Amino acid sequence: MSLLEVVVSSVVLASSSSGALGVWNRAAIEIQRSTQLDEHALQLETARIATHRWLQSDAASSVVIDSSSPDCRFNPEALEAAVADRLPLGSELSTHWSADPQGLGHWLELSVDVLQAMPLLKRRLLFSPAAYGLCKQEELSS
Amino acid sequence: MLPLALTASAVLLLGSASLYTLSLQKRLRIHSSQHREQGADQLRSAAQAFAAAARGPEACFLRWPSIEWASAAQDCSGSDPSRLSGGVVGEMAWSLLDWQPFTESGQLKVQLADGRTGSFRLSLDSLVPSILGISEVQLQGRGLHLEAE
Repeated sequence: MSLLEVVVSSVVLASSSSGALGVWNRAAIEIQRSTQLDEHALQLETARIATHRWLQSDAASSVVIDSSSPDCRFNPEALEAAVADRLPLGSELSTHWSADPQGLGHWLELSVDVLQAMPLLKRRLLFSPAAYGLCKQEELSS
Repeated sequence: MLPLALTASAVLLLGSASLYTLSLQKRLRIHSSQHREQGADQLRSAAQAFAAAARGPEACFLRWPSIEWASAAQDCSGSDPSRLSGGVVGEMAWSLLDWQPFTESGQLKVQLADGRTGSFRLSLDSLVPSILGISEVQLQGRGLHLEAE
């Protein structure tokens, strides 16, 4: 075993160790980000299911309909407050309700307010009171 | 000593490359899952739009299979079946593929403009034609779209 062989072997081993360490580091960051994205996606899905189930419950019928409107439509303030109060939303989750321009219902936009979450996780769904039997009273009275 | 160093280097580099590939696969799986959920959300929104349209005079059509709506129009005066046959929800066009009513429920099948298809079970009032609830979406792929292509 010559000195030259020892030096070359050391250089090869040092270079490959350094390279492997860099790749391991990037892989660890990637896995951490993916795990975080996975958790946020689960939070969004949980919030969506919880909203859907709550609208199907009897508790929703008495509070979310705008009684002052001749059409059967959600009261956006009551809807937002009721859903925000009742859902076990994570602190990183934000909800936003907006009326559909065609009057079909209200859009729920769920997103995660974390800068590191790239790309931004977002869900957007339409909810109509008619789909949950919440317009039944209005239809019976009309 | 040199062969040993080369073998150790190869093991280190191959191991790290495998780990990085695994991490990228996980990222791709999440993106694919997100894409699927967004498609499901659009189908859910289309079903909600159907329910919103199936009110008032148009609720009369809930008693008939969609294939019979043209002939049922006589029994549903003042109603327009085209309002239930499709529309635009968000920025996505949707169309009704099929509606099959049963005693206290109905099977709704809708398709998006990109070919994605989903079906829902809707709870119906047994006394008056009215929707009481809506199930989760059953995704059915985009077979018709691919066939058209």
